[in-house]
This record gives sequence, C-alpha cells and structure tokens, in this order.
Amino acid sequence: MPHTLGERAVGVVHTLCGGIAGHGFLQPFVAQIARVLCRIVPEECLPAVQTSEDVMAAFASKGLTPPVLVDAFLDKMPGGVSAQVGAMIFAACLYPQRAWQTDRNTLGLRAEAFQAAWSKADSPLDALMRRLPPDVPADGVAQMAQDLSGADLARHDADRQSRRDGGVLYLMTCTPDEIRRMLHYWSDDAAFVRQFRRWVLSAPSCLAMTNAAGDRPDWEQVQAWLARHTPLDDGARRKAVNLEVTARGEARKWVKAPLVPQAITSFWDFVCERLTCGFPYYAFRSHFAWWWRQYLRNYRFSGEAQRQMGYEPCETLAAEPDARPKNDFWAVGLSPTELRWFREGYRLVRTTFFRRADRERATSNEVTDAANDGVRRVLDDIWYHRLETKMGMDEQLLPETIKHILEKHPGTPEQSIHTLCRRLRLRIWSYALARLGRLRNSQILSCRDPRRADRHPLAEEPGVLVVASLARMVPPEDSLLWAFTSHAFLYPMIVPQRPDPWPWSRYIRELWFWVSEETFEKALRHGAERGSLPDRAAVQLMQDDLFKQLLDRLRTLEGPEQVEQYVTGQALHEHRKRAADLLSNLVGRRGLQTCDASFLAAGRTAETNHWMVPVWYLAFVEQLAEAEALARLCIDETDEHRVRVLWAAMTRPTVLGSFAVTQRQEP
Amino acid sequence: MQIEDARRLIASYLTGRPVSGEALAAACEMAKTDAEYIQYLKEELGLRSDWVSECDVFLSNLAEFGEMSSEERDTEMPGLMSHLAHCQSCRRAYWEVVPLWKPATAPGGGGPSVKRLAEGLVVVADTFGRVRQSGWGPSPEEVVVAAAAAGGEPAAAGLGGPQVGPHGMGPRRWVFRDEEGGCTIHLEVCGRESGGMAIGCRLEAAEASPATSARLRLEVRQVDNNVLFVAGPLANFLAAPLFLPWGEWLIRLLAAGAADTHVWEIPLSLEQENAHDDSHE
Repeated sequence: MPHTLGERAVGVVHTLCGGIAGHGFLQPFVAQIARVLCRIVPEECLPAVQTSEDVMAAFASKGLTPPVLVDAFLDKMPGGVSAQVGAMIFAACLYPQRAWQTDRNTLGLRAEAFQAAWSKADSPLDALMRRLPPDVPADGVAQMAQDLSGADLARHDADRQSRRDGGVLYLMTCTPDEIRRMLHYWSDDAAFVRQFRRWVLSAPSCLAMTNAAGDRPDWEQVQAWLARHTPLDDGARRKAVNLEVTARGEARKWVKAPLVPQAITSFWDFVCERLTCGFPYYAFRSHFAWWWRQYLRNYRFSGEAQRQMGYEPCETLAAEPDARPKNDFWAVGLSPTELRWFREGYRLVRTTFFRRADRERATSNEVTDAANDGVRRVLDDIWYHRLETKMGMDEQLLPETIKHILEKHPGTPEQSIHTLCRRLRLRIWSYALARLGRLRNSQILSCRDPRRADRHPLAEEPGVLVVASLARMVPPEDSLLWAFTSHAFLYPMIVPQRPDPWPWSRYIRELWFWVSEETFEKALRHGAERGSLPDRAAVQLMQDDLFKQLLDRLRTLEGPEQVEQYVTGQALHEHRKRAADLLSNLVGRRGLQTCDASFLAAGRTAETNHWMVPVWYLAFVEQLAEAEALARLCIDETDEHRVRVLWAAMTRPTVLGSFAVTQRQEP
Repeated sequence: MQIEDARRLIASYLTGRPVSGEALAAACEMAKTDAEYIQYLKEELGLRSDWVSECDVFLSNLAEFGEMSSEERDTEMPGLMSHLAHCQSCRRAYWEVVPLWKPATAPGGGGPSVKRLAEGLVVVADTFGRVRQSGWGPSPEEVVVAAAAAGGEPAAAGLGGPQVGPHGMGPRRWVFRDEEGGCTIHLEVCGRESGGMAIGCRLEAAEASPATSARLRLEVRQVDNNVLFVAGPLANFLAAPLFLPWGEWLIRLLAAGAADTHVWEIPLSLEQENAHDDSHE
C-alpha cells in the first residue's frame, strides 16, 4: 500500500460502524474500509477525515457508493445496518471494482450474494466456504483469495493477513458461478501471475537492458537474460516477452518510435503498481493475457503528449478505476472560476435553441434573429429560475415560476417551457461532461442517468453532439468566446434549415455578455500566454483605441436594454472592418475560402456537421497540427477517419479545389 | 449577504447578467453554508461525480465479457450485450481485444485446420437495397466517398465484385486479418433492389503464408442444412460478384497446399429490413 493508515483513521471507521462493531465478525470489514480509505484519499488529506460522515463522503465522492448501490441495500442488511453503511461495506469489499463498472444485472446478483453471506456467517471465510457449490474446491478458493490480493508479497504478518482477508471479502461479492469461472482462469494463470509480480516488475527489455532505448529489442537476448537472472520457467519467459511485444505494438499506434520505450516503462509501472498493491485489479475474471490486452486498449499512450500540449488528456475510467472525479469531497462549494466555465457554457448552449420552423416563417434576417432571440430570452428566464430555486432532479419548474414566465413572454405555450427546461439541462450536462470531464462523444451519448441507471438521457437529445464538440475546442482556463464566435457565424451556413443570422450589431450585443464579465481579460491573457493565436490577436486588438473605447463603453452598460440602445445609435462600420481585417490576417486566404456557405454545404453530412466548426477553428484560427487538434477534440476512433477527411478537405489546396468541384456538381 | 441573495447573484451571473467579481466571490462563500443548495447546483450543472458512461462500463469489462459464453453473457451482462450491438466505438474496442478467428471442428474431425470468424456477420438491406450491419460482428471498414473524391486516402481496394449499389450506395467492406495464417480476407456485400445481395471476396496472402502457393477455392453453404450452394476456384468469383438470396450462409475459403489445407469460415446472415424494425446502426 502506498501509505499506511493512521490509528485515528481506524478509530473513525470503527466509530462509523459503532453500533455493530462489537461483533468480532465485523473486524475484517472495518479493516477493509480502512484499507480502501487509505487508497482513495491522498495521504496528506487523511487528517481531514474527521467523522463517520467524512468517511462516507469520501466513498461517495470517489463514485464507490452511487445511489443505485444504496438502493440495492435498502432493507436488506440485518442487525439495523443502514443501506448507506451496507453499500459502503459492499463497495469496500468490491474495490477496486466499482458498482458502476458492473452490468446492472450483475450488480443485483452480486449484492444478493453478499447479503446472503453476511446474514448467515460468523466469519467471512466461513461464510464464503458455506456458500460454495459442491463442485468448487474449497482449498482452491482459499488459495485464490491469497493470489487475488498478492498476500505473498506482503512483508509483515499483519499486512499479509489483511490482504488475505481482502481477497476473501472480494470473493464474497461474487456469485458462485463467477467463482467457478474465476477458478478456471486462476488454475491456468496463477503460477505465472505470482512469478510476474515478483520478477517482471519492469518490461523484460528494460530488465535485460537490451537496446532499451531503441524500438526493436533483441528478444533472444532478453530471453537469455531472463533465463540467467530469474527463476522464470520457459513458458513464463515466453509469456512475459509476448506481453511486452503486444504492449509495444499498441504503443507504436500512439507514440513515435523513439518514445516507445518510455511509453512502455510508464505503462508497465502503471500495471505493476496495480498488480502488487494488495487489491484485486487482476481478479482472475479472464485470462491474464486478455486482461492485459484490455488494459492496453484502454490505456492512453498519447496522454503524455496531450499533457505537454497544456491540457489534461481524456481520462478513461475504464483503464484507471482510481481516476478521481474532479470534485473531491472536501472541495465544498463552487469557485467563481468554475462558475465562469458555466456562464460561458450557457452562452454557447443558448445558441443551439431556435424558433420552431413551423412558427412565423422568417421573411428576413432581422425577423429570424428576433424570433430566435425571443426563444432564447424565455430560456434565460427558465435557466435563472432553475438555478435560483432548489428543485429535485426530476422536478419541473414550480407552477408559479411557469406562470411568471408565461406572463413575461405571452404567446409561449406552456408545453414549450417544459421542453426547453428539460433540453437545456441535458445540453448543459453534455457541455460539462465534454469540457470538464473530457469525455468522448460516444461516452457522453451512452451516459446513464445518475438517478436512473436504465436511462441514457443524452442519447436521445438532439444538439448534444454540437455542444460537446464545441466545448472541447479550448481548455477550460481560456475564454470560449472565439469558439463561440466561430460557431455563431459558421453553423447557420452548415445547417441552413435553422436560420440564425448574426449581423454585426447582434454580435456586439452578445459581446457585452462576455466582456462585462470581470475575469474575461484575465482568461484572454492566459490563453495568449499559452500561445493561443486568437487570444493573442484579441489582446492586441484591445490596445487599439477604437476597440478599447468600445469595450470600455460596453462595460459601463448595466443591462441588455442599455446595450440595445447603445448599439442602435452607433456607427460600428469601422469596428466591423477592423475585425474583418484581423480575421483575414489570422486565418488567411484558405481559411476565408472555407467560410464560404457553398463550400461548407458541399462537405456537410449528418455525421460530420458537428465537427465542421471545431475543425475549421483549430485548423485556421488556432492553427494547430492535425494530431494536436484531434487530441484536443477527444475524437472517437470511429469518427477519426471522417474528421481527418474533413481536415484534409479544408486544409489541402488540391482538396479544396475538388471539394468545390463536388459542390458545383450538386443539383 | 443572506443565502437567498447569494443564490440570486449566482443565478444572475450564470444567466449572463453583470455581477461584480467581489459580489460573486462573496456569494460563493455564502453558498458554501448551504450544502444542499451547492449539491443541487452541481447537479444542475452536470458536475455530479456519478455520471457513468455505458462505454466505460463496457470497456472495464472487456476481457471478462470477451471470454464469457453467450449463455453467461445473457444471464450476467445483458445490458452490455445490448450496448455492444448499438455502440460502434465499443464494438471496435471489442474486436481489438477478442481474437477475430476461433478454431472450428472440420467436418468429420481431423482434416484441415479450420478457423471460423468469432462472430458471424448480419447484414440487413432495406427495400431500396441499402445495407447496414446489425448485431455485433466486426465492423465494416469506414468508407467515406469524399475521401476518394477529395484526393485523400483511396477508398478500400476494389474487388472484381460489387462496386456501387443501387441509389449510389457503396458496398459494405470488411477486412479480416489472420496474423497467424499470414493472410487477409476482403469481403464486400452490396444490396440489390431485386432482392438478396451481391458478394465479392478476395484473399491476400503474405509471401511466407501457406496460402500463397495454395489452390484457392470458394464454397458457399446454407447454414441450416449444410447444403452446398455454390463452389469453385476463387479466381472465378473475382471478376463478377456472387448473388445470394436472403438467408444464413457459410462462406468458406479453402487454401489447399501440397502439405495441408487451411479453411476460413465466415458465417453471413443476409436479412431484409423489417418495416417495423426501427433500430439503426
């Protein structure tokens, strides 16, 4: 274990189990909670765990006790054990697996198995043994429990005992069928896993120091070294080398050849830490080679490269069950910075709502823009009231709130308010998952409702992919204004059936919302320092007297009405011209050519529409390399080919020509 | 400042109204005293820590799921089975971890080495002959017509078989590699307005592969009664596509060398779109 548990923390856990801890049978459970607590809470934060509520909050904040698990323990635990405590004990025994990682069906079966054992036994091992079907050998199970937690690696008796208990408790969370299956894999692979944990804690080529810096180790030499310096048998040596060969194959897909050895070292450390830490990360639920391939598949070899680019890589929870949610349990409240992300997010999400096409068909730009703004003003009121009043997750707006909104916006059907309210929340959620969680689009679409695991609300919501794809365009610390601007001007050309023109005066009205936010300039400077080209250009533009005066004036205005009044009476042609010159200098001739409605129309498809603005922005405004842009957008592998084609169509001169030809040939 | 004022300020700020930095900071401090409101606000903003993506659930069970029998999957992981059928991204991950081929027993035991595609292909065509894949067999290659038109990567190597289907719909193309056997099988399936589908098949062998010097032969059998539908040297099927009616088929590629024979089997189900079936890939 990376750090040992202080006596005080053990005391807290005992207090938590206060009413039931007197029973000797509970001691292994208490010890297991303490072990897990030490694993999930960084050592320096352990002193902050003061009360039993803190322990439960720590488990909850790490996603170990989701509501669905607590529900599975309602009225199921004997002896007055509450559902929360029952769920936490189960979660500790299940660790490092998590309730959310199990199929909904499996979770029910495993919780039942655990509850059955809990109520009948007076010691976890006895309970487990009693529950085994006759065809499952008890001695094999006992041995497997030791191997699950690597008890043989413990240096002290106490640690060895707690690891062994941990293995038994993990098996208590498994159904008899699962145990039977695990035994099969255990009998095939346990001997190798024991040897691997002891002798192959670095990649074999590293151990042998054979061409470690190169991409092609001499495998015969590596085998020979292993034969000389380790007690690994022939088969184990071959297997170990094969594991490294497979790992190198995967790493080569993600990093350049010279970086492969470094990537392999990182991956090996990552896996070996989990294999030796005393928790069953490899739990004999498949053959070891399959588990290895799963880890390889889910490990982000490109993560380091992404970090160097200045933002966090897309975390794959599947690869790293310890991936910590952004909000730790002791981070109470929301900071102004976090709120700024959502203020920007709302401005973006707002533009994905339109006047219904069947209402008041637009006859001019002005009519359309006013109609859309009308819907968006209703949205503003809905959002304000949702945030200001506490409501349950599934509750609609309060009747008096709806009445108030209807009075303020006469002619709006009540049903529209309910629809807008539901859709707004879904789109804001997808924004959060994309911008802060850096989830890929497929992950976002397949998100389960936190309260109702059988529903995938985001999969059914149109507009989610547009919001999610735009939200990843810039890191959270930077301003989203330029991404927003690109979307506002370009998207109506990509989806002409949703007219939403942005004349200059309307853009200035929108700009007021951004520049009147006090940290706006700070975010721009941050982006400029990081090397963002549009932020640099914007910082420079703000030194220009003409724009300086405009922005200073906008900041003095107190509300949309004053802004409207100001914009109506102003001649803003010169500002518009300078902004156009700036854009032209920034994106160049090709960037401007691709802003053309006919060009965008030629390239649009249902699968790529939501990628067109992000690709254009990163190619011409941020001017990133293709790989860097793809990494920033966290593209699904299934989308990668389409996005690369789009990138090529926009950036390669010859391709641009062919795209135009394609466009001309269209009826 | 009262908690109600703090709530109003935060809501105003998030809706886009001007709020001074000082006032916002004070509101954030005050809101900390109302843990319930903070929890509510985090939920509204999507900041809950317990959002779970079904893809993540699938990916964290990939190895176990891959080695389970179909009965075990039915009982223990029905949710993931249904996810796999609908999520192309996870299907791709699945086929990166799970071996594409599994050994199959040759008729009568012994005899040639037979490998069967681990999961059969189900191809569904609508009344216009447009095809899509159903089930969770290996995904077809991504074919983006714009790529070829735009001078990007060429479209998948064309076989002598079907190139373009009705209504300009391109064929579905699969590439099955057999690393052990040193060869790659290309399969194209294209819908036909008149019913059934057109099939193209080709085998590419590396120099060291036993299939290089072998006589290559194609057989198509009906799955339900194992009756031979069509057979002949593979070369015969390169120039023109093979037309198959709706049904369940077993496509067998045989490479007969001097020493031994290798067989690759691809179960292929060709289905007609059910008018009431609204599931889409």
